[in-house]
Amino acid sequence: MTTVEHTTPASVDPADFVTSLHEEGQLPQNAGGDPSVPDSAFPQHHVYEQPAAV
Amino acid sequence: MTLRQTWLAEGRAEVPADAIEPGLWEEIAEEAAHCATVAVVRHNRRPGLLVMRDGSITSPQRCRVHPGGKALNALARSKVLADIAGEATGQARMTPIRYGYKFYAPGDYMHVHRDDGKCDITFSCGLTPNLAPMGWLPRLRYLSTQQVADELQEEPYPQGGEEFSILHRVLSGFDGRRIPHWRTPLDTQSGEVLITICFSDLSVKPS
Repeated sequence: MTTVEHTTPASVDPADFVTSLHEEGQLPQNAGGDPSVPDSAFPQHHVYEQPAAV
Repeated sequence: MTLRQTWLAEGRAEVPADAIEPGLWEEIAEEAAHCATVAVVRHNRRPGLLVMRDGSITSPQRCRVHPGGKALNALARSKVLADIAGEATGQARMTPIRYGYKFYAPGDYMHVHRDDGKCDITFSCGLTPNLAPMGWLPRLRYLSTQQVADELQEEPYPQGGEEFSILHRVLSGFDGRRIPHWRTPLDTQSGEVLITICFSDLSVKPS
């Protein structure tokens, strides 16, 4: 018979995960609430300029 | 009215003006000034409204965007915002899932749209003082996405819309995934900065 050990689960804040994604640039670049449709979905309608190097 | 009642009746949730420390706003302003130099142009010119499966609607817009850094992250993770988001929407535990700066130059715009379906509440404010009110149509809040798109297809800035004030460094929440909203072309000579923070309930619910 297997003994299951009960341990206190670590407290996890999902905001930590979101923050990690954010810092890695994994969140949508639209920055608002507007739908996160990738610009590549409309290649004929987008001007996608890379920012100049600082 | 309570936060919850105002949300249900009007689709908005006000954040007290003193909820955020003035020092944090200064840090955010400094961060935004740096982010502006590396912000990405967002210029969707696909005409008309595109209905998405999550209930959102995408539409043409032009501005520059940046997801922000530590200062904006600190704002997004303010307990007071999560508490207001939860109390207003009746959700158990709210997490900021998307946030960033939107840099508007003179003439930049955002046609009418509905926010991503994951945005249970969208908070917004001006980091700069000259942003005109946003337009919105609360009376269309509970129409289906297709009904909204059919009604507004020819109107990037719908007639009969109401004004939603975008305050200077005072956040206001609204039901952005249901209530169609937009920004008419910026008519100031100055560049303006909008902050947006969207919350969602990420807690696992028993099925």
